[in-house]
Amino acid sequence: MLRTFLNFFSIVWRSYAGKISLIVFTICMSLAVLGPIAAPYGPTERVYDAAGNLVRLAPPSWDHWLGTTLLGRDVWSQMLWGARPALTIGLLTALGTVVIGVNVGLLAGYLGGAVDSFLMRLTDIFLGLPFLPFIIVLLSLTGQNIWTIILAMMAVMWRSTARIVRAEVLSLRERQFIAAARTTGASDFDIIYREIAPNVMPFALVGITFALAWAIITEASIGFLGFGDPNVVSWGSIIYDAYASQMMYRAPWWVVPPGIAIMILVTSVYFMGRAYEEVVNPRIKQAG
Amino acid sequence: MLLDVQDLAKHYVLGEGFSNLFGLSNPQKIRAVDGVSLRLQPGEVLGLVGESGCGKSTLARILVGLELPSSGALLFNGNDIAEDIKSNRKQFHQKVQMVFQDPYGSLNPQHTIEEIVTRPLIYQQLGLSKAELKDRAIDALNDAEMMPAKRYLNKFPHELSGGQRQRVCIARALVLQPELIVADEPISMLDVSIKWSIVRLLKRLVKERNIGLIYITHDLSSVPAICDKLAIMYLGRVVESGLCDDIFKQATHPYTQALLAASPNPNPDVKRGRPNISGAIPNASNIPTGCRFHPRCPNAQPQCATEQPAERHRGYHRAECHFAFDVKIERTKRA
Amino acid sequence: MRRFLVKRLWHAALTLFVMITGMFFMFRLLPGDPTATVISPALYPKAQAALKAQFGLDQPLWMQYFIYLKNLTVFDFGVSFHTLRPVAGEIGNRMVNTLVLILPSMIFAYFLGALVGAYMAWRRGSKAEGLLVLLATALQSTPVFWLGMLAILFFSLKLDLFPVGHIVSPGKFPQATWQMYFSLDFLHHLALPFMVNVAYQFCFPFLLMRSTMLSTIGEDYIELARMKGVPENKILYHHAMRNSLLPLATTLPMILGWAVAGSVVIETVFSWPGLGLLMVEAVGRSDYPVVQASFLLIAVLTVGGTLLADLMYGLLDPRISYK
Ligand SMILES: Nc1ncnc2c1ncn2[C@@H]1O[C@H](COP(=O)(O)OP(=O)(O)OP(=O)(O)O)[C@@H](O)[C@H]1O
Ligand code: SF4
Ligand SMILES: [Mg+2]
Repeated sequence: MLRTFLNFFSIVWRSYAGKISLIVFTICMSLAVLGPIAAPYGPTERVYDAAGNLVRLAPPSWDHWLGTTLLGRDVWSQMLWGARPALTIGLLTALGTVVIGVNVGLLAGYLGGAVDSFLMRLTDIFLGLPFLPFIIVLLSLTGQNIWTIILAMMAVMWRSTARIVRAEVLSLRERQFIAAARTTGASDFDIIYREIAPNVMPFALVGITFALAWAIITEASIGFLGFGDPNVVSWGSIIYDAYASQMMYRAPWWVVPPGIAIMILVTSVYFMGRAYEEVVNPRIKQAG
Repeated sequence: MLLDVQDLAKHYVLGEGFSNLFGLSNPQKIRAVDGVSLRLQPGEVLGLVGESGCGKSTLARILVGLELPSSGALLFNGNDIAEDIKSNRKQFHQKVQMVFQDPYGSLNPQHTIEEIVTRPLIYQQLGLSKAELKDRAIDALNDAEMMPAKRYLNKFPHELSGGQRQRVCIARALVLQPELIVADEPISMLDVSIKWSIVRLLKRLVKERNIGLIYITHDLSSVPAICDKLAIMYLGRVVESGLCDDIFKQATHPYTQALLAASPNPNPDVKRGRPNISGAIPNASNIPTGCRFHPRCPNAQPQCATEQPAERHRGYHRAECHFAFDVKIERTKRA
Repeated sequence: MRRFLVKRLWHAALTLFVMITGMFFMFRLLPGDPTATVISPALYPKAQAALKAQFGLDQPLWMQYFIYLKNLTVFDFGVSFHTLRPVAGEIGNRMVNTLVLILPSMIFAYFLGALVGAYMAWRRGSKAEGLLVLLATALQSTPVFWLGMLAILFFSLKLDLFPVGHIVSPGKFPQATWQMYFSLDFLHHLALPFMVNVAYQFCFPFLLMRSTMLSTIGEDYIELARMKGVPENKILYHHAMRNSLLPLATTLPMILGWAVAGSVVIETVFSWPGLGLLMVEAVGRSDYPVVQASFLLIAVLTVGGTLLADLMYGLLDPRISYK
């Protein structure tokens, strides 16, 4: 488990694109950790000038690197604060997604029969589920805070990992080392979680990266549609505020940075995922 | 008696199931193992020899409890183990271990050698501490002549050579201190240079620890070096069995004779041709009537096509042929 | 073959049925009373009861469920809490609006992506390829709504080339709805969301085509064709591309379905009166008959897309047996 995880970084580090994206990702991670400490203002703090007037829609300057919003908030500070929710929501969702997906895939693939049919029908149902509409409906009914957002995204996103893992398990379970484990007295549980699971970890890691990318974008979309956690400033909600204020034209510095931040973060995640997948999935490697 | 197999059979039925409810297909019965009897004492090596597809691996899988027999009895130390496998699987697996043909496929690629060798102890829930586990693993690796064992503990299977991998497989089998080991073609996928050392290793372990070993091969050349007894299989049945020497010197079944004729040199370096008999081995789903060997038998007589031969024996030497131990025929053939 | 078809159809029907049922009970069992907005708790109890009866909310839950199912079979989606008019009346137009935006842009994006992907696979290792892959990945990593906002910012607000949103200019709505789709004004409004959707949806087919092409190009028969002296561009379009089209063609319907589901975002940015926007608005107003109906239609489109993708895969891929 840990081994596969460390292996992930060493594999990603090997390629040029992987190296750059790993560095970019690490920077984003440190922003998420340190951002709030480094931010000159609070996320919803209103900034007043010496004369006591609200600094509305001020263009970027030395005092406000990325200008201010309609309500006089410092965009640079908001950007720093916004990294943390984007990454926590993203990582937790990705982790939960993969935990569910891997387990469903392992059980369906190994146990087969009725369990497999049931779990695969369930996966089909979720695969046909319109992603964003479902999450919006769910959030509107359960209330909007980051936990329900994470749960709602997890509820839908496990489907693709489950499918991939199941297909892999179907071939793994016929391998001879499974029979070997059985002859030493391994129970079904042992075989699933101690023999097969380590072999699907690479797929789980690819799943985590793609789920992370999706989750970050989806979280932003949820924020943009106005269903985000009202108490949390995230990159998505900054864009939403800018859009809702109808002041985009007067303050491009307000709209552009959060979008670029999302783009850079997600791009780095995608490239890490691909760098890793190219190595662990030989079919694709052949292509490269 | 360590192992006593009586009239064991395994029949697979294909094309059964849902579609068959409507009579859409007629199920095919594959008689992979079709009435096999074997006996084995502790410290003895029984060679199981036969062409590809004759049911050797199926028999092996039944013996180690990977599959249940369709019929027949399996006595282990005098107790019927068919029940044991169902109700007390863990304990049964502790006594009987298997070494597989493919030393790469039978090692989990994601596990280190230490994990591979300690896993059996963990699965058996023996309650050993981490240090004890490690000690046992090192002992087992030493026994399998992986020395110095410590150097290999953190390696992965793909970092080892084929022979080293097979030693790890043997160590994994040894770590539970079994009474019986079933080795299914353990050297057929190895480099020529190491085949012999693996054979010698197996032989030494069996003698030192009084373990019973069933040594499966389709290749007679390695047999004299390791086996005490021999059973020749053809299409799911043992057609001739007895002491190794007896069979090599006085094979009486035409199939055995053909196998021996095709392997003049008891040296595994020499690649062996197909047995010197015409035709291919029939399908296990379509076994000939009478003597199952008759379509290919050089000595076949009219009665062979209709009457199933009974077992004949001379001492411990047994054979299933109408004319087994028949001096006249032996003579005419030699002439 | 017949069995394969029947099985897939049955699975799709089952999927839809489970979704409809799940949705129905989700609305009624999850905390929060969605009826509170129409039936104000401030009303007299008698008035409340009368309103409840009007919407059928006085029946036991399972009766409501069966009535709902029965009504669905005749495309009766109930009455909107907001407009108090039948949902079915409005929702058809909304669906057409969504499809008019999504279908053409997706199909265009797919063709473009496939062509460029194939070409870039051919020029593998070149600077242009690296750049395009980076660009496509970056585009894929960009939230569409933000892309849309930038487009509005630049093309509408700065250059004043396109209207900021909506499907036609205010006051220009024609007599019959169908006439709208043939007006220049409509096309003028369509242009910007169309372009943004193409830019966003272009990435997936591009990257997929490129990677499948790369694995095809490596295969023996392509090498053989090259050795036989078949011209490069002919190899590209006749041999390699044809074989890479399978995964592309079979994913199209599924991606289409997902794009319809994703239309909530792009329609919101451009105030495009499609199903997605309708749903977002209805959720905001707690107008749950409308939410249910629009969700159901979107689900029909996504499930249909997945089904079609499955069937196409079964039909086109010779390696698949119809099980
Ligand atoms: N699970 C199964 N279902 C159906 N038929 C089977 C199954 N396992 C084995 N058979 C059939 O049983 C027969 C004996 O197979 P088995 O693997 O035991 O032969 P073998 O002697 O080990 O051959 P080889 O030397 O190739 O390993 C073959 O005809 C095979 O096709
Ligand atoms: S019984 Fe007949 S056919 Fe069978 S082995 Fe003996 S001689 Fe050959
Ligand atoms: Mg075999």
